[in-house]
Amino acid sequence: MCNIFPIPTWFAGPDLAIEAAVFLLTVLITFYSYSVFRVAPDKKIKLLCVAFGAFSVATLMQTTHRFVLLFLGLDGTCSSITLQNVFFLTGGFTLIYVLLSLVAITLFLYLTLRARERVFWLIFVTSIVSILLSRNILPVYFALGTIYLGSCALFFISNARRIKRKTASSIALAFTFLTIAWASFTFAWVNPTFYVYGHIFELIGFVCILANLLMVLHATKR
Amino acid sequence: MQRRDRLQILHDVLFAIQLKGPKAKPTHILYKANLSYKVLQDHLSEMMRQELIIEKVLEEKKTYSLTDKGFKFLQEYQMVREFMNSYGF
Repeated sequence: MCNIFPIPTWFAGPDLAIEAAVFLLTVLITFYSYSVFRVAPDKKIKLLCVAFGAFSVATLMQTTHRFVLLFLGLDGTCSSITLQNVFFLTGGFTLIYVLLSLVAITLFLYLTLRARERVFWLIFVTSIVSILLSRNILPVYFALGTIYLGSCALFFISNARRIKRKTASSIALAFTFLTIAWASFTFAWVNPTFYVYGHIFELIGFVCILANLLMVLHATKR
Repeated sequence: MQRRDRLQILHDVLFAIQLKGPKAKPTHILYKANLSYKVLQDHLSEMMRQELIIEKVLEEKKTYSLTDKGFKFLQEYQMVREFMNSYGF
């Protein structure tokens, strides 16, 4: 089972900083989305809040996981107990990360497809089953995520072209970057340099989503 | 003609209540918000559940008024609309 990313050695450390930054961004995005939801208790806004919240907790899991791995790695000791702990820890954290971020991505897909609730469950359960039955959880998760995020990006691009507003363009840009990020993570097993690109594009993607929320809040406060 | 989404209807109903002052009657609201009686009743009960409006019964006649949350929704509707538009919802 493949639960750990092949990471370029020079990037072990900076990746933790980027993941922590992504976590902070997702927390801010969830907070701002929730403030919009408090004004207008709409189902779609609620689902967006849930999606961003799930992403936030998933990123926290990933950051903690990376931190523990880095900490154990720097320790310099390598006993069988430590290796066993790392194995269980990695498996657990990876499963929680995959489950939560898949909830978020499937929710985005469900919202953009404007489908029935049954479609959400169908996509989610099919994805989970195929990921769990695969020998390599992470590459399969990132490949599926790329397809789902790509579909969302196409929807947001057509929306941005239709309404021609900066806020819509920022969302289209954000999901395009997130799709590229997920695709990069998928190819990280071919070449570890893609892991670096994935982190950078993921960070830019979430910065764009936060920028959209700040633009919305700023434009209406004037 | 484009169909109004739930958020737009919510805004129209709240705006109709605001226009009619603190005691808006259902007939005034359905006329201003351009809704059928059945649809209006569904929306009013949903809005009461969300604490956007309150219902008062005076001499067997129902009237509706905005709560602070309802006023806040009307003030910040543009922000919510912009947020929804940016996602194409």
